[in-house]
Amino acid sequence: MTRRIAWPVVAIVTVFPILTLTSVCFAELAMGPTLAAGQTLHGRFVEERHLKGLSSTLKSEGSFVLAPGKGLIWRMEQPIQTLTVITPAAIRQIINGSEVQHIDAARVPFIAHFYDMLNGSLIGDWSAMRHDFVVKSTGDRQAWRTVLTPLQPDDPIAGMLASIVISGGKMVDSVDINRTNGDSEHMAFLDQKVSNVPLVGEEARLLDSRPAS
Amino acid sequence: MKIAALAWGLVVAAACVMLLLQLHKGVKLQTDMTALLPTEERDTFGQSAKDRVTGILAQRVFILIGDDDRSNARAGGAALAKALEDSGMTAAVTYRIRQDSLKSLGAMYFPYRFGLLTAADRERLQQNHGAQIVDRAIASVYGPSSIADANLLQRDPFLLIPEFLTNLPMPVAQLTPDDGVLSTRDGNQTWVLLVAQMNGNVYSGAFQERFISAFNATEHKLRATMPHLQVLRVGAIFYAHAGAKSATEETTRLSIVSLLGTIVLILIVFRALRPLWLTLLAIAVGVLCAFAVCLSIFGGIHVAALLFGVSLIGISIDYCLQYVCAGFGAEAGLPNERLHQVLPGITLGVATTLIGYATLLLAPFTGLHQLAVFSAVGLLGSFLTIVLWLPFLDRRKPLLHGALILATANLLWEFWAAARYSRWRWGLIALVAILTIVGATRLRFDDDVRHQQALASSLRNQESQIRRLTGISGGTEFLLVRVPDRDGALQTEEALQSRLTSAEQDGAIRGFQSIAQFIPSIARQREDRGLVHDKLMLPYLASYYQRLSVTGGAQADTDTAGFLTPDAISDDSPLSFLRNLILESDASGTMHVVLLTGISRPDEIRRIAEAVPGVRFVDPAGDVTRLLGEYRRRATILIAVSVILMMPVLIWRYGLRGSLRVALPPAIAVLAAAPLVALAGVTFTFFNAMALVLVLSIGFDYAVFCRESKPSRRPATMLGVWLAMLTTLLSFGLLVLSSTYAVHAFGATLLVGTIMAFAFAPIASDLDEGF
Repeated sequence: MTRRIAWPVVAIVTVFPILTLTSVCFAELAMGPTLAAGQTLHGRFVEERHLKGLSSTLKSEGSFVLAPGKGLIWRMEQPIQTLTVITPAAIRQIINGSEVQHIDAARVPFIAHFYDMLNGSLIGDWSAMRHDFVVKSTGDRQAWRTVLTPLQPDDPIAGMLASIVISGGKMVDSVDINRTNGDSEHMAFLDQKVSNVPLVGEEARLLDSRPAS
Repeated sequence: MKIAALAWGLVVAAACVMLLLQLHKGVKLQTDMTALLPTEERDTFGQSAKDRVTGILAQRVFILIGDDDRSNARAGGAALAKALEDSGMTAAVTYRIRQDSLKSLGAMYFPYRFGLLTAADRERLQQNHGAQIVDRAIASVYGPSSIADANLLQRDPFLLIPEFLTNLPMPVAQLTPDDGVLSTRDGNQTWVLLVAQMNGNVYSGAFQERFISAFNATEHKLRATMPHLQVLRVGAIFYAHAGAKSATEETTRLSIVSLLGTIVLILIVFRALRPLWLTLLAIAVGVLCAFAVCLSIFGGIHVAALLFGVSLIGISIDYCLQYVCAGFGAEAGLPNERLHQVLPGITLGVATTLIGYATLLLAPFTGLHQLAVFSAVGLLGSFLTIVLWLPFLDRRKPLLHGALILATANLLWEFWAAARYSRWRWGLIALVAILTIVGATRLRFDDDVRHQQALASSLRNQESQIRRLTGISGGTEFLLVRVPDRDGALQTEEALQSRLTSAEQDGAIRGFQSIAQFIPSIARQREDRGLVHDKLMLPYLASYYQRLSVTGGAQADTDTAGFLTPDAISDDSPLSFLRNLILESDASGTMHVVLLTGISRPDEIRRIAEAVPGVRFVDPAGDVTRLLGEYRRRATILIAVSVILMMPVLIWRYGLRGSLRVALPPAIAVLAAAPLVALAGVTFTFFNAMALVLVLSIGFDYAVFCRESKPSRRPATMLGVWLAMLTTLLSFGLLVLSSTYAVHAFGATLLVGTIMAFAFAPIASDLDEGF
């Protein structure tokens, strides 16, 4: 029993957040408009998570900012306010202004690997993604659906995902992530805007991956 | 004379028998540098621990195999791993890691989760900021970085174990398992890691040769099919092998040049080789006596004392050459008469040199004691051989062919004596003075043993590349934790941890590794459980579960299993490397090791070690560095002391003014040598100081020879001095070409010092010009 629990714990904590968030970014960019350097994508999300064994659905919502070459800001507003920031250097979680989690890319190299996938997708290069997933798309540019399945189901990390289903039109509308343990989540994206104005203020500061002096 | 010669023969024979008996019993040459430390500074207990840890560290090799093609890198790694396994020279080869190794890690920790807090979480709870942990858990459960299912939420509601696991300082964290092999990517290149533990003595020449040739053969074979394959290596065996190889090649080259040069020189001057044999005989008898006496006094001898001792005995060549040069000229007389001509000079030379060597006894260092006894006994043995045996072995008639050679040799004398060279003389003195003063401003001391060795630069590049790609570095420094009980050892490490972490942030060290970073002490686990129970579970659990609608109650009592101890680390655990850090754990006490890497400020680490009871800083390289510094200071002081001790003998013979004249050339040589070599960027080390001991003796010899020489025999005396200088340069001066810095510094100092002693030797006499 212990073993069954322990393993996902270890793997998930280092990899899963990155995997999930990266697939979101990937979806946004590979299927939607490709961003040029200096452009940013702002939008809102609604996420519903179904955990096996929990009676109610865990629903959260908030906004996000994606900047090529810099990273992703995932700002949850409901049920609590938290900030998750992924940069090539680290994953950080900030609650009420204090950093409650900091995973250094140097210590957890998956971050760099998945960041490569993210950046690859920004410039329309699918090869990094195809290294880990089988990518199948159906439909046309107005309404499409892409299914990602792990290339190596035995892989202790990618194998935790059953599938990632991304659908949309001009933009990505939703992402469904199904895990092998029966849990699933649905993310819907709204009010997406591509902006040519560089990030300023807090957003620029959060994505500044240079070490603080 | 005959009786004395026979008696000396008996003494030498006795020494020979004694030495043979000793050799038969087996002579252990000491090679450990710390054996040279003063006895009171030695710590046998720490020493054995140090030997064990450095042994383990030295036996480890890290190999990175890289290629643009991932499959090539992997094929290369697998082939090399197999070759090493099959070689019979490895105790363990780690290439493929268990796919479920992380899983086993999780399984080991999970039952003890409520006693395992990260430093940051512990601080949060201590400061009553448990709400931050709760919020973090809620964010994790809701957010895209979900890590929980219902089962986990019941067992570890606040997701403490994932937090703990991500914060473990895993040693090769920059590498990720890729299909069972630890790998990393750098640009287009894929690198795979291979770690091997040798099963033999990596400092043994035979073992090195077997291992390196097997390794190179495999690499060569792999390159034949995969030409772009790169193999990076780091490990003591590679450095030791490269060092031994280049030292052997260099020694062979230098010895051949030195030997040929000496033979040619003797042949040109004497048109016979007999003087060479006579000289070698005198030195050989000296070394024999020295060895026998040293073994019976000290029971053994340190290899460093032996090497320097043989060099110091080598000075007896000066006396021998004085004797054989006395054979020049029709008026040279019979061998006995020749000896009598040079006897005052060489006796005084030996006397001053003996005083110089014996002065080394004044320092409280075993190494210098051995050196003093070895060189003094050897010198005396050589001297007696020259005085008692050479006249009997040398049956030659006076040499008549050397008019030109003698005239040339006498030019140095004329340079100092003749009025026409007056300006040149002052010019030379001014030049030496100016260069010495300029050099003195550039003189730098350097005792760092790491600078004294020549580490192969290609291996150093590979090491830094491996460090960049993997974070692995081959440090040899560590802290030794020694306390009565096991948990005490972990608690001590915890006390060190916070201090070392801030030292790491300050840049005093690059990193450290201790067991307590992975397995907290029972005391800490107990304390953490209390914190989790009182400051997290009690105040927050109920509302937290309600919020997440977790039903079925919590299995979250905080007092389930026992405590995690280092025993839980199994052989095939990814943490099995930690077992090397436990040196002893039994009724007699516990001894742990905390490895340190990239120490830039050793003093800070020493202070940390002193602040925590039961901890000692062990820095093998630093110990040797301190030792070299101490020896350098002592040797430098002893040079001055020995000059003072030599003076009474000289004053007795030459009066005050004469003795000061005799002391002038060696003083100039000793004072000028170090600043002059500093002009060429050579720093002052213990090895320079040893060279100066030799320069001082050489300087007094030349000066005394010049002073004692009758005007009629002056050309022969000067020839002896010339030859002494040239043979010294050929044997020791050539060492300036060595790529080992210590040897280079020794050679450079000796080269310049000997030339100075030679050039100024005539001013020891009362020259006509009033010099």
